[in-house]
Amino acid sequence: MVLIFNSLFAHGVGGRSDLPISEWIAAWSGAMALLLSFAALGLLWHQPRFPKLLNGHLISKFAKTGQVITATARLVVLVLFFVVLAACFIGPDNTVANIAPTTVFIIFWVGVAISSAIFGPFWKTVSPWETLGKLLDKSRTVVTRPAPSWLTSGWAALIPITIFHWLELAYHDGSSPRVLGWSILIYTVFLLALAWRWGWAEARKAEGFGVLFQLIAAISPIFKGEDNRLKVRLPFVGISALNMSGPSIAIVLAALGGTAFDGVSRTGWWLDLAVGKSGGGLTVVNTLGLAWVALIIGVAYHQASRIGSRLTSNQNFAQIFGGSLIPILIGYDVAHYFSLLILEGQAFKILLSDPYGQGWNIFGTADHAINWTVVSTTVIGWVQIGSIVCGHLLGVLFAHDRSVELWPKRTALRSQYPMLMVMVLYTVMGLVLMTG
Amino acid sequence: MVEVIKKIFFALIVATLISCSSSTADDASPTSMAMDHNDSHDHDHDHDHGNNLDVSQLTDPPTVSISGAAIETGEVNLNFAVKNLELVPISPPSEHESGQGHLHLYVDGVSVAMLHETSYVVTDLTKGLHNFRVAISTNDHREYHVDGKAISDSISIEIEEGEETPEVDKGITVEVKNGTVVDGLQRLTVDVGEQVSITLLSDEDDMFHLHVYDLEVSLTAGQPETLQFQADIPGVFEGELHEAGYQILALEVS
Repeated sequence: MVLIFNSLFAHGVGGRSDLPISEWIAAWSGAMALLLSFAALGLLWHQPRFPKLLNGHLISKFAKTGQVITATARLVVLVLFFVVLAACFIGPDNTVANIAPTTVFIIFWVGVAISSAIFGPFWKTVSPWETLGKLLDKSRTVVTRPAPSWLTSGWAALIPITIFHWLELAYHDGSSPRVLGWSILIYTVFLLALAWRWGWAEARKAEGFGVLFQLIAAISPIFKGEDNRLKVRLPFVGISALNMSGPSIAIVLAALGGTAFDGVSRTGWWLDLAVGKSGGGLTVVNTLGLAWVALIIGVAYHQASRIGSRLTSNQNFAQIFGGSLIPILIGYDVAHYFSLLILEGQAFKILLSDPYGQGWNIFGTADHAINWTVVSTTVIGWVQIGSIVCGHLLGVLFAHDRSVELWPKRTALRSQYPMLMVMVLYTVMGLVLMTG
Repeated sequence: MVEVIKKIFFALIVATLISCSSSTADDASPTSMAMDHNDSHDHDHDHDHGNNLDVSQLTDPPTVSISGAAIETGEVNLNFAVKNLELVPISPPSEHESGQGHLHLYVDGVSVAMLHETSYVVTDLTKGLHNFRVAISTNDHREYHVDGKAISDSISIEIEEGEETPEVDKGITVEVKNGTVVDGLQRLTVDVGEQVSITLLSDEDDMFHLHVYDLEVSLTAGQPETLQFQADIPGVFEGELHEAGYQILALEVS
């Protein structure tokens, strides 16, 4: 008996959402987060601690082995990239039966983001665009033209992130393999065109995913030292060495806004609003919703920074505390997509055995089925609450450490009020969204 | 120079959007969102109605008939007689070829199998009257239609020996009318392990799909169909209409 189902997905891939979390648990978690945050203002250390922890220890002395492993990983990812890109066009035109939507929305977007937080800046080493860009660089003489400011400033990286979110969350047919195929192809050609003109070192600044994953990697315990060797340190302290430019902050806020809208679109309120809408009508409603949620997230941070700048007479307030957004983003990501990664993500292993829908069974996994009960809903619920609250607390700790590093006690305390306000807003929003 | 590059840059973005919309121009119409397996661009010569393929213009359109009888406890042996159609296995997938196809079998409205054989045994049937419907499909899973109706045949068989139908713990009726769900999106909250019954009624032909449980019910306009199953996977699941293209039910299993 064989069944083939084609599905429309409201959220990239899915069709399943997590159970709503009880309002009591959400309220208590929110209250606890709030209480601990205010305690952090006064009771915590008054000397910066994180910068001292930045140095870390060397992991491996076997540079040769490392090179072989990276070269292999780079090749595997590049092959996978072309296999998936080809599947977009020649595989079944069906979100579930084609390997591309699962790979792009779950393995790449969620998987690489969360792994970057754990394993550090590995994406920069294996990214297919890095590999292709560097190959292009090698194939000709060195480019010395100065790149234009829209590229060097880093703002170009916001474009792919924005389009990606729109495809995933707003466009009604964004999970169609053909749509994904064209998007990946055009993006790749676009990046290589930039690399051809100004060299990959500049073109890389427009590769939004690489920029975002690199920022997320800052909270990982694993990092690359100045001599390019792998080192290990306490997790999360790395954000104090991070230089958050304006575009970096915008990218993190965009990712946060997208994840928040994904949560909004699963609430009963939104489902009632969107019921009966399909095709272009659905795209319009989703686009407005996505823009609206992203705007709330962005404006909240912008306003808090303006107030903070005034309180501390420091124009770079937004950049100084931008690092706080990264643990919050990872908290949101884990809360929203942890179950997607371990449940729907299993489809990747199944589809990899038959990437073009030809009845192949390369790895012997083609006939496996997704185990929908591999984690209990209780575990999922606690992971969701825990990640939102921990993300919030880590953001607060970082802001605290930064402020005592830069200012005397009194200014430091004042500087944290606006940041705390915006973080509390994000956390309460995240918790409310999970109550359905 | 910078100006030129800027223009090219924006042109690329515009091109991305255009190619996205043009490559899916056919999919944008709500009718082609169902089991349409291949790119509809390949079928310019056919009267393509999304999920269906109308072959009224053929002098000898394919036909199908069904017969069958209860054989053992809870089992029915079905036989299909097909004319003017060559039955082709669905795996490996193939493009639409005129005069080829396979059978779609529905038990009580629920899609249970795709077949290229002319007989099939349905097992695990409960006691009572069951409806078996067979329709013929193209290689790319569109059902053949004549004069706006699916080429299909159905039979009702009484099962005398079989397990009793489990009692329904919770049920809901979802009605779709004038392009939206009557009384808004319907919600049903049940406990893990409960027997759930979902009755569906639409004023247009459509296909209902309950995600993850992967249950599909073929709906005929104005004719209610009931889907009964045990809710054993926890979570919140979308129930959607393929043709209409929107969610009509949220099933919460906790």
